[in-house]
Amino acid sequence: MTNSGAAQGSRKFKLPEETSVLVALIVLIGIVGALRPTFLKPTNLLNLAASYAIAALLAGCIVFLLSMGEIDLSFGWILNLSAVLAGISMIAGAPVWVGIVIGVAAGTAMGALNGVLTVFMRLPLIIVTLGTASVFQGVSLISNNSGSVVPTDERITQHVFFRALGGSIDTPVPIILIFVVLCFIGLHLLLHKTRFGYRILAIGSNPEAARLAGIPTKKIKIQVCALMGAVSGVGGVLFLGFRGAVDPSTGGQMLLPVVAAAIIGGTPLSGGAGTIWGSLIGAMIVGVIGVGVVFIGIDAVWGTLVTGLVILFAIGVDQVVRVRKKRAS
Amino acid sequence: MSSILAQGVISVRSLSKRYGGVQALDNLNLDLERNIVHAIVGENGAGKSTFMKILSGGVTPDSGSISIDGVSYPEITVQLARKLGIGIMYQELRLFQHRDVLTNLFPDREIRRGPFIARKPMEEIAKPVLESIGLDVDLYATLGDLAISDQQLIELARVIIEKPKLLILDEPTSALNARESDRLLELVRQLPSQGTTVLYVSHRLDEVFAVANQISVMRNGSLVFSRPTNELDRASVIAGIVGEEKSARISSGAKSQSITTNTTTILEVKNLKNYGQIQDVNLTVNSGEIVGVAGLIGSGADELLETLFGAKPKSGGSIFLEGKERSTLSPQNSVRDKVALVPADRKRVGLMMERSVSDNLSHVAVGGHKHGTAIVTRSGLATRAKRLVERFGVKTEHVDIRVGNLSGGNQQKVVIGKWLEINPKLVLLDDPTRGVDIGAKSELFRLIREIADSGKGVLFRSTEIAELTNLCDRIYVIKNGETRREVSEVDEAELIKLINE
Repeated sequence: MTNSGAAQGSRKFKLPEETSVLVALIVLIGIVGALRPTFLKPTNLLNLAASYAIAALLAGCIVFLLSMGEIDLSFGWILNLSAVLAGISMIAGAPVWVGIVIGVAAGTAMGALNGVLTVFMRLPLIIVTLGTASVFQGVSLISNNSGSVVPTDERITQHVFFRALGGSIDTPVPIILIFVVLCFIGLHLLLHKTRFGYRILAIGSNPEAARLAGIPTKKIKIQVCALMGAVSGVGGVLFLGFRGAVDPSTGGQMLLPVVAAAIIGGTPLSGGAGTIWGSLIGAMIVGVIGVGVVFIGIDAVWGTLVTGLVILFAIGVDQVVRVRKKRAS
Repeated sequence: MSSILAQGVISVRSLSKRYGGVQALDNLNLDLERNIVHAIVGENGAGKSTFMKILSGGVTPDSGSISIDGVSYPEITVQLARKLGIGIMYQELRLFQHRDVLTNLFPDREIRRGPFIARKPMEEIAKPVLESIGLDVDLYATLGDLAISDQQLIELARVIIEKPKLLILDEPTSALNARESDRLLELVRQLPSQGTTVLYVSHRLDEVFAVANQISVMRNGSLVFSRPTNELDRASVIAGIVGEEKSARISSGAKSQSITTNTTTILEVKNLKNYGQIQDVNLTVNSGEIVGVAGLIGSGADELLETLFGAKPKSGGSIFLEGKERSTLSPQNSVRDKVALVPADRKRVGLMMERSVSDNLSHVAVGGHKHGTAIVTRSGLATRAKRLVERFGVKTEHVDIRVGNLSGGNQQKVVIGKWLEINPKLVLLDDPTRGVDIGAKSELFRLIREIADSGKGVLFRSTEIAELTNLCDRIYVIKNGETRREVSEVDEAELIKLINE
C-alpha cells in the first residue's frame, strides 16, 4: 500500500489508504493543467476518463486476482474474443441484447477455463494464462479471418446500446463512465464486504492457512477467474459499443496499463491486500500520463516510458513504506 | 564441570542467550573433547538447538565466550565456522529441491576448471562418501524426486565431504527407518577415527547410548552434567533430563477435577494408516477429556493430528466422530463436522501473519464455515474479535494490530480462538506450546482444560514430555506408526522410557 506517513499515525484519525494515490493524481492533473490550461476543461477530462473507462474496469477486477496472489495475462484477449463473438453474432442476425449476452457469457467461460486449468494442473495462473492468452487470440483471429468486426447494419448501429455508448445520446457525463463507476461500487463491496471477498484475501494472505481453515480454495480460485473473464467480457461488449468496431489487435495492449493501474493504486503483487478504489485512481493516473504527454506536446512515444517510470516509482515507495513499517513494529 | 578439561577442542564459558521472555541459554559451561562422539540430550526448550546454532554461526550469544583450540571468540560467524571446520547437519532439510544430487553436495563450493564447473572431480569426491553412508543414488537425479530419508542422508554427505573438525548432528535419524538409522550410527561411530569430533543431539536415548562416548544433559539452558557414557545408565540420564523440581514450573492442578458423569465418545480411530509414517493407530477420545499423543519425531505422532483433520490424506482405517464415520476427510469437511486443528507450524500455516487480529479471528467463522450471512462488515469482524480477545485474554492493544506483532502465546490464543468460534466438538492441538514462553504456557493449559471441561474432546500432541504428563488424562504412546500403549498417571521419567522403548 502506498500509504503516506499520515496514514499510519494515530489510529483514530486514519486517512484512507488511497489518499496518497489520489494526491498523486491531483498533482499530475495540476501539472498538465498548469502547462496546458485547456486540459482542465471538464469535457476534456470526461472524455479522457471515458476513453480509459474499460481499462479502469479491468484494473478493478484484476485487483481480485492480485489479492489472491495470482495474475491473469489473458484478459486482454478474453476481451477481444468476447467482443468479436458478440459482434459476429449481431452481424449474423442475432438481436443486439443476445449478442451482448453471448459476449459476456463467452468471457465468463474463458475465465472459468483459466481457473479450472490452474486448479487441476496445479500451476500458477500466470503460467496457465500465458498459454490461454494465445489460444484466445488465435480463436479470435480464426473466427473472423484476421479481419475487423464492424457492424454496419442500421438495426445494430442505431440500437440504443450503441447510441448510448457511442455518444449519440447526449448526457452530461458519458454513459460508459456512469456504468463503470457503478461496477466499481459493486466490485468494492464484493471484495471488502462479503464472505467471498474475505476468502479471496485469506487465500492471498496465506494459501495453506486458508485451506486448513476450511476455505474451499479451489472453488474460490475458479470463481475469481470466472469473474475476471466475465468482467473482461463486459469490457469487450462495452468496447464494441463504445468504438463501434473490433479489430484483431484490440485488447492486446491492455496488459501493461491495467496491471500498472492496480499496482500504482496500491495493490501489492504479494497477495492478501487490495484496493478497488485505488485501482480506479491508478487507471486515471495512467490515463493522465498517456494523454498528458501528448497534450504537453511531448512525442506520444514517450508515454510508455513515463508510465514505466511511474510504476517503478510507485512500487519503490510502496516497498520503502513496507520495510519501514516492519522495522517500526 | 569447568575443571574437567582445559584443553578440550571447544570450551564454552558462561554462554547466555535470551529470546524475548525466554532464557534459552543460561550460563552454559561445557567442554567438548577432541575426537569423540559427544551427545547432548535434554527436553525441548532445554537450549540444545540454541547452543548448536551459536556454535555453527547462526546465532550471536548475549554473553559468554567460546574457545576453540585455545583461541577465544565472543561469537562465531558463519564464515568463521567454515574456516574453523565446523559443519552442521540440520534437522530440517536445507537442500535445493530442483537441483541434482551432485550440485547439492557442493553448494557454492563447486570445483572449477577455469570458469567451468568440473563435474568429474566432484563425482570422484562424492562417490566414496555416499558409499560410506550406504546411499546408492544417481548423482544426477533431481533431489526433490528422492525419498526424504535419502535426502536426509545427502544432507549428511554434504557436511561430511567438507571433512569438518567438528560435526554437529541434530536429530539425524528423524526421517530414517531402523536399517538406515543403524547404518548412520555405524558411520558416526567411525568419524572420530577420521579426525572428526561429533556433537550428537537426539531425543532417542537408545541411539545416544549406542553412539556416544560422552553424554551431556541440558536443562533450562544450563548443563546438568557431562559424563562418559560408560559411567551412566538410562535412569540417571532421564533423571537429569527431567530434573527434580520438574512439574513446578508448569501449573499443576491442570488435571481434570471431576470424573464427568455422562461422557460420550467423541472420536474413535480404528487402524488408521496414511501414506507417510502412520501404520496402525487406534484411539478414542471422550468428551471432557484431554488425550495426549506421545512419540518421537518420525514415529507418526507428528503426522497424526493433521491426518485426522484431513490436511494429510489417509490411506486406510476408519475415523468415527460421535459414532458416525467420517469417510471423506478434508479441512472443509472438518469445519462442517466441527473438528478443529491448531497446527504445529503456527507461523507458516496457522495464521495470516500480515493481517490483523480481527481478520484472523474470523478465519474459520467467516472463511471456512458455511453458516451466517454472506455479508462481512469491518464492524462485524471487530465485534467478534473483541469478544474473542476478551474471552481468551489475548494481550493486544486493539484488534486492528497485525497478528505477527503479538507474542507467540497470544498468537496461539488467536489460533485457538478462531476455531472455538465455531464451537467444535473435537479440538486437535498439535504441539501448541511451540515458541510460547513459560508464563503463557500455563495460561494456554488453563484454556485447554476449560475447553475440555466444556464437554469437547481434546487430542493433544506435544514434543515436551512434561506437558503431556501434567495436562493429559490419558496418553497414547506411538512408535513406528502404531499406538503401542495407553497410559494414564505416568510421570515424566516413565513416559520418556516408554517412548524410547
